[in-house]
Amino acid sequence: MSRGIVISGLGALCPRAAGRKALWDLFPRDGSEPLLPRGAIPPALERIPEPVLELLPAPPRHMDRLGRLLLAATTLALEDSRLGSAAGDPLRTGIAMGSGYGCLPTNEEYLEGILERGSRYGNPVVFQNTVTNAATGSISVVHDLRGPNATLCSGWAAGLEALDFGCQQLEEGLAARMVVGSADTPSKRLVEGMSLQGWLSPHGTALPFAEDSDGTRVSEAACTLVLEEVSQARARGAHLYAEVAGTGRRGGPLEEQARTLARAVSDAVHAARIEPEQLGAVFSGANGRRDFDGCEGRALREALGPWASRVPVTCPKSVLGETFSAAGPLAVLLGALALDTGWVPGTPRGTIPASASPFNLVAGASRRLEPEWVLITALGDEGSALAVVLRRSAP
Amino acid sequence: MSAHRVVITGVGVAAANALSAEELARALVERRSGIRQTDAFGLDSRTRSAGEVDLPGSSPEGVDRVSRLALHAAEQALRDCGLDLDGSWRANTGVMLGTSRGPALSLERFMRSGSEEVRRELFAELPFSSIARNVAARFGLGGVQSTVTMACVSSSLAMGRALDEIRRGRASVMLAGGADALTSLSFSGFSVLRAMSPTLCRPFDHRRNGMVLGEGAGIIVLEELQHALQRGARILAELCGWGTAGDAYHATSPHPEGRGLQQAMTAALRQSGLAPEQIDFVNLHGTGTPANDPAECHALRGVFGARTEALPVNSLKPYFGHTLGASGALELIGSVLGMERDFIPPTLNCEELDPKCNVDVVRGEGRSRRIDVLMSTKSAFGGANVALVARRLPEARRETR
Repeated sequence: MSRGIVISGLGALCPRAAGRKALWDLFPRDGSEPLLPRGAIPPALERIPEPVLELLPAPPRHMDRLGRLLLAATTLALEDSRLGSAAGDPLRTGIAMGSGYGCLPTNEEYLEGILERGSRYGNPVVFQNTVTNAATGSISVVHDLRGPNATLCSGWAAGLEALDFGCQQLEEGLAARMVVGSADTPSKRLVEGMSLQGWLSPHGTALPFAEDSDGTRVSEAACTLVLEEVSQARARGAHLYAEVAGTGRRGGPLEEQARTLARAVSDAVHAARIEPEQLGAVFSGANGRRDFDGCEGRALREALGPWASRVPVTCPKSVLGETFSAAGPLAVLLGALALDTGWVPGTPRGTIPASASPFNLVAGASRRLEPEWVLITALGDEGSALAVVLRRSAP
Repeated sequence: MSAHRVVITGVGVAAANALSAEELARALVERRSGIRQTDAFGLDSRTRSAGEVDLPGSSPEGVDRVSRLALHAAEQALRDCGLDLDGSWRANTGVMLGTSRGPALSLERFMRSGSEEVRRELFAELPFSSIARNVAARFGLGGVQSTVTMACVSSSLAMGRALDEIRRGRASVMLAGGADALTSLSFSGFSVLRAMSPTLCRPFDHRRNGMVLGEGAGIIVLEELQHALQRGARILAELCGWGTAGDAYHATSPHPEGRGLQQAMTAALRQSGLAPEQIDFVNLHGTGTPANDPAECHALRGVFGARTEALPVNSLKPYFGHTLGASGALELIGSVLGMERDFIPPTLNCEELDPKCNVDVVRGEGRSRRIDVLMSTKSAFGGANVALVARRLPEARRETR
């Protein structure tokens, strides 16, 4: 990055955690392991309980669930950045949000109404949310964000694409601060479609790189990050979680996803001006689907060479489930906290037979590794691949 | 930062009044609209007028109609740009497309179908990103793939982002634009919002009473200038800057003073390195809704000041309807085709200018005039705004299309 860009605010919302601290606590470092959400969780889809949403600031009445999730995560991130509910100079503060499936669930809801009752009985309140950028628009109203404005829907990698877009706006001086993030709220029909594809674990687990992996587990989530130019963040005394040192974004045919991701990783490492051996940890997007994880594994080996089998690798989806476009920003959030605290989140030991894995997986409790650089990967479902390298922020 | 210059070397369209760039240029000169009565949806909406596209029968089956529209436009754009369709350039050529409604027809089919097999097949079409994926796969394009879903500014933002990809040296060639199909979802929704005209789309006219929906696709080939010059490409125009900004005002209404649009236009001028007085013509969004048109005119005054009254503007929506996410691309293409012919297409159906829209709306027969630099602006639900600037490239080889 030609300008130093730092992450100064973190906001996250998952079924079992609201806020950065609660999310971090899902990955304990006191010798106990992250809880494997097996058995008690419905196998198809884990949703954020309504009471969790009700604890957060009341959203405008017209917002749909996707918008409410994104607004909640954004509010948490802005509060965490110590900007309060206002984001500073509104004209210089922009927003870029991603979503893999966007407003499809709301479109289903609207269509259900008109298929049942006739087109003139469509619900206008629902209709205004049948564009994916309704969420971005409403959040910009609530937090007065009048800078660059973008909503991206490039599959599962859309969250990291939003981050990449935010960095670009900051690099070019088009904004002083960017709120970036992503959310997905899968509908019943989407989950049904995934089940028909054979993507879901019948046991409701996600076991990345495991011998007995049998699919993934789907979860709702939202995650938002506040990006700032480093001197501005320092000037206002913000806490700097990490620096965005490099990004890589590639696309290609579905049958060449591993190569596409490898190129994205190489680009990100190159942009950060480091060698692969300097990476202290990898936050992998592996999710427990054998085909998906196979691409991830081949990509890491191609891009990182021999270092791929030695660098500590953690798989947040083993705990959080497949959160689609939110998975990338969630991994960035965890990566930033890893750099900030020196602890790399672990994954449930029972899920990963280390002997069978070609990677140095961080199994069990979080590990004190004090990385200076971490890599985050995200593989889309349509041919996109993104990678981000974060660096520990200088005090 | 590297700042490569970027040119448009190919265009493709699918619209109610044109299935090629040549047809579109001719339709604009001849003031021919493609709006007609449709029974496609058999809906009890406020209007049956729409801009429906008669796609050629050779369009591939098995993909959503929105992808079929995009594939038609992409194929034309690629042929138009003169690049060898088997060339190695494809490996690093990206696709950035915008859509508002996306594959809503497939979603509807998915919901109606009782067959697991049908639903399994349709599943791949459901994500919005399926459009870019289908285009990239059809033409073997291996660069970045991106999908923008920002209602009516979708394809404008996609083109702006594609421009940035080349400016920053990330690609030499990009396919950019957008597509949207007519769907019962949008027909019903805009009708219940009472945003649809029961008669005609009349942008800036004091009798305007809403939009007329359309469908279509507009796709351009963007190319790094030296790359284009070295191969002797025909250059339609230089795309020299863009900007985006939010209104932060209302979920569905524009800010009455066009707050975000002003900022987007200013950002586009800044990236272009141009001053407001260098803009010769502005293609506005011009939906024909009571709220949109005056807000845009207010925004114009905020940027162009006293010069506003001497600045020709138009809206192309009466030609093919409001094509939602495709409108930015289709209307930029129409404007650039006009620039190439020293012609500003008139705004159809605008007969008595609304005093609230007291700007130089090109009407009647259109206007013969040399345009060196044009701006195209679009605004959307959620308060999203995008402006693009394109200019004639004197040093480029130009041929009459």
